[in-house]
Amino acid sequence: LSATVLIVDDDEDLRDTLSLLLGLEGHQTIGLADGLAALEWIVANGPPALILLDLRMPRMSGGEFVAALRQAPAHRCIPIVLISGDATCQEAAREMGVETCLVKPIDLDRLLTVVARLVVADQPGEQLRPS
Amino acid sequence: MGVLEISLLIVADATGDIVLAEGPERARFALDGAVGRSVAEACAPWPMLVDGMARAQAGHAGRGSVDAGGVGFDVRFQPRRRADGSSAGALLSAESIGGGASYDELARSERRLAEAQRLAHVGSWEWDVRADAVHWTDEMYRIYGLDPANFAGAYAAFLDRVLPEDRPRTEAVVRAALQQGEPFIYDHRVVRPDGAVRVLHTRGGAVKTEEGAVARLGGACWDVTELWEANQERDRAMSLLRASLEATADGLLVVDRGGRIAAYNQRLLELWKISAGTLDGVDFEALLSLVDPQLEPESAAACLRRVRALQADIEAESFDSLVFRDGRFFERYSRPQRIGDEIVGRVWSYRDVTERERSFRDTQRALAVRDEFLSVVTHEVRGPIASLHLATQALRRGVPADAATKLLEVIEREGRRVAHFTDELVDLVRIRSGQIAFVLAPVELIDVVREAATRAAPDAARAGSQVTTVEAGPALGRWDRGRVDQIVTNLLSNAIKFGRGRPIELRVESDARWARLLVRDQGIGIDEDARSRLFAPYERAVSPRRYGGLGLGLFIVRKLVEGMGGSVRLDSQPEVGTTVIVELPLAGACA
Repeated sequence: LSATVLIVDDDEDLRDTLSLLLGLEGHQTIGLADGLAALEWIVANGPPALILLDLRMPRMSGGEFVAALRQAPAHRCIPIVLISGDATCQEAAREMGVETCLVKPIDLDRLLTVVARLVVADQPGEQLRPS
Repeated sequence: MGVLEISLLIVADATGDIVLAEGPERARFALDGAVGRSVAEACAPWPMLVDGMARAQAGHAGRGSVDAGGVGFDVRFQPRRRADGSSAGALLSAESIGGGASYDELARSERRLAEAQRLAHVGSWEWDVRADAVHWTDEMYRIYGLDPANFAGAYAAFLDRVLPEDRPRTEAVVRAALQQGEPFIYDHRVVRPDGAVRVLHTRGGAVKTEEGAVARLGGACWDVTELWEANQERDRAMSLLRASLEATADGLLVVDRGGRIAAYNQRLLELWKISAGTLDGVDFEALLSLVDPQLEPESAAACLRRVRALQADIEAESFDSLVFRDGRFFERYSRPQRIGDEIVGRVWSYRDVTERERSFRDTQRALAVRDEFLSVVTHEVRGPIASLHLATQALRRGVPADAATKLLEVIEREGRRVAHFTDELVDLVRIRSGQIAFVLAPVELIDVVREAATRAAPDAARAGSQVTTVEAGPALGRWDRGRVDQIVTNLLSNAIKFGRGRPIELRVESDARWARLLVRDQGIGIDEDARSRLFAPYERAVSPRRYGGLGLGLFIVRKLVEGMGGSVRLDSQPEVGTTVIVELPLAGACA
């Protein structure tokens, strides 16, 4: 199982910034511009440890991506965290059945906590620890 | 009644004194021994006799009737003249026309007739043709505004009162009646002594002698002036209504309660594209079937439902809209037509509001585009702010030196992005309000192009594209250097963004009048549909989320180029590439 964190957002600069910061914490990251590119990557490389997912993207939105991903049983358990400018996106996260949502501008502590928890929890042999 | 005979004869001299008063009825008039007294004094109980004699003294013949002691008399007045024509006095002859019980009855009957005639404004007349004696009833005198003392009782005196324009026709009618002896009906106008004109409707006939000659004409004469004036008024009102009906921009239709079309105007035919004559003898149902196919199915169904509802509720007013298959849009208004309190039909009016509706929809669309634009602005600005926020938080926590350098670069880059958005928005506002100003000075176009290419080199390298500049001709003009730089930078940044990492060429050339800049990429290209919208504000060829930015770039470029008297166009082929061509006037003319 890959420990890679996928960063799916159409803002290239934001992808790069997130990559840089998660890299400092020892995470391996891949940045992709939209849902379709993310699906293609997963098909080619297998499930990542975590997906940070923007909602509004061209070609394939975050919502469409999640729906497509959940079609495959093997991919139902990939943890997903939404990244959105919309303050009500926690609700969207619940409806889509994904872990949580980070509202832009993103709080760095919360980002690192959430990523650490989900990536670690997903490692084989590790226990899920309360956050 | 028997043969009439002279009952009383009075002769007066030029001074009005009675010189003779004779006849079997003299005592009834209390004129025994009247000779030598004045007419005015002796005949004072009968003012009609005094008036008639006075008029005869003045040269006017007359005729009338008078009642004395229960007996009626027909009285004639005649002037007396000397050989030189001067007045020699007057004479009066009275004939008994009945008396006693039979006279009373006759008098009552005549009074009833006179009353009836007065109420009906109908007079009757008789003309004894051979004697040229015209006899009028009291109502005839009232109609003509005359009295027996000032009407000579002859045909010429009647004709004299007829309005001059109507005389030839009147005479023709009389001539025909005299010749043929047939009943006749005609209208003519007469003038009263006070100048008032009355309109008279006459029905008459002839009485023939045993030999078949016409002896008398007689008839009834109805004063129809008020009726005629009312008619004129109605004609005027109708003409006004008709003119108003045709002058309005609305199509109007009046349908009676039996479903028949009572009235419509030409505008209705135009609006419904119905040829003239099609509506003649057509009922409302047939009209509905003519217009139904012109409407959008949904609107046609709603239209019919409303018509049916109004047929059940005849007092209701209605207002609704009709949508046509050809894109037109009508407003329809209807209300009951009443005569007094009774509802006799329904008036429908149709107004073509297509232009208004179109402009409303255009406005709605423009507002929707602007809302979308605001949402794009919000989204686009959140990206750099999120990066800025993350980078500053990370620096505050403390990171390794090489990471800190990268984070500072992030801060600088994202700061520039936000500033760029702000510049674009400011330019948009200036362009929108016509406030963009150009500072003109000599500018070498290739210099600006080279500088922009150098500045964009890192971005181009990041995208994998190599930028080359070509100077194919001198291009020195009077332009706003900052704005030219903005144009070149904007076009180059598009070429990098959409260039798929392939080479980009910036080429400067010129002819006698124009400096020309060509920005050529080998990128994704733009399809035809998108090309037409590209230079409009808020539009973009691709989804707003795909490449970022506010979608204002080309709109601003176009406005800047046009502001300096130039033009911009675009050649593109999907998957082959795009060339943007900017032309600026060498003379530096500025709009």
